[in-house]
Amino acid sequence: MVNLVKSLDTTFSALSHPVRRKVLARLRRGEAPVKELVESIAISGPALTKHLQILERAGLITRGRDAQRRPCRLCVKPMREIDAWMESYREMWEESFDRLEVHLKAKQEKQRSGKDGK
Amino acid sequence: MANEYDDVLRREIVTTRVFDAPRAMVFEAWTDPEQLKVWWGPRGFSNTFHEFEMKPGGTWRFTMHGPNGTNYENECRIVEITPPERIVIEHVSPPKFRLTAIFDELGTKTKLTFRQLFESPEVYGQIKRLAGQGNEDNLDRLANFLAELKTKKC
Repeated sequence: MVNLVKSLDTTFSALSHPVRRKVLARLRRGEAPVKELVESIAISGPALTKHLQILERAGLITRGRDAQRRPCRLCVKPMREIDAWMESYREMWEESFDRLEVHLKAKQEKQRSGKDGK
Repeated sequence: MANEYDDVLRREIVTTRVFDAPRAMVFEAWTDPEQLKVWWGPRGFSNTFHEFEMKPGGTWRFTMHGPNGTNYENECRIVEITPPERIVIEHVSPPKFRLTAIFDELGTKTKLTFRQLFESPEVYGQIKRLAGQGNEDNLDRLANFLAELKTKKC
């Protein structure tokens, strides 16, 4: 559990910068060399490198071995962890609607027996 | 463009349920505080309402009491209420999200479509804070959920 909290934490802070979100949005369409990212996001090479390092450390991207291009690729695992956290809400709503179902049934029963009594 | 980028971080949960009850009755169970407090929240929870104004811009402030005695404070803002079809609520206490409930008539039954939209980037900051505080209940659920996912995949 501690490790999971740590990794969620790293993911959140990596996602907290607009440039890094732009990088991820671009990579969702497929891998891209650094040069292309610099152009499409309109940022300096050194500034982008810093952001890429943070994303790489958070496990949100990997970089190819090709020394010249070092293409960046999206990794889905950290995003899946966030999705799972949010999905835990689904269970909560399902339980809530189970209770609503019981409540509505009881209410209808009451109405019916009320009418019969008249 | 900003929207396209932030789409990466938009996350929505959608669920539907058909209730064997007329639409007016289901809608009323959402808007009458005496009924709402009976069923809102997971199994074993109860609720205390402090403020409940079911009108656009109105505030709904309440405490959810967990089965183990933990209290969860909640504050919501009513965004839209269109009887007997639609309710939109914004959960303003962290984590921030928007709930939309749509009520469709299916003969004598009612179909409820329920959406929970998490919006970035603030929500991430807020969840981070919660995770940092060790919101154990949720994290336990997450752990269970992940374990379940794994078993399903294997």
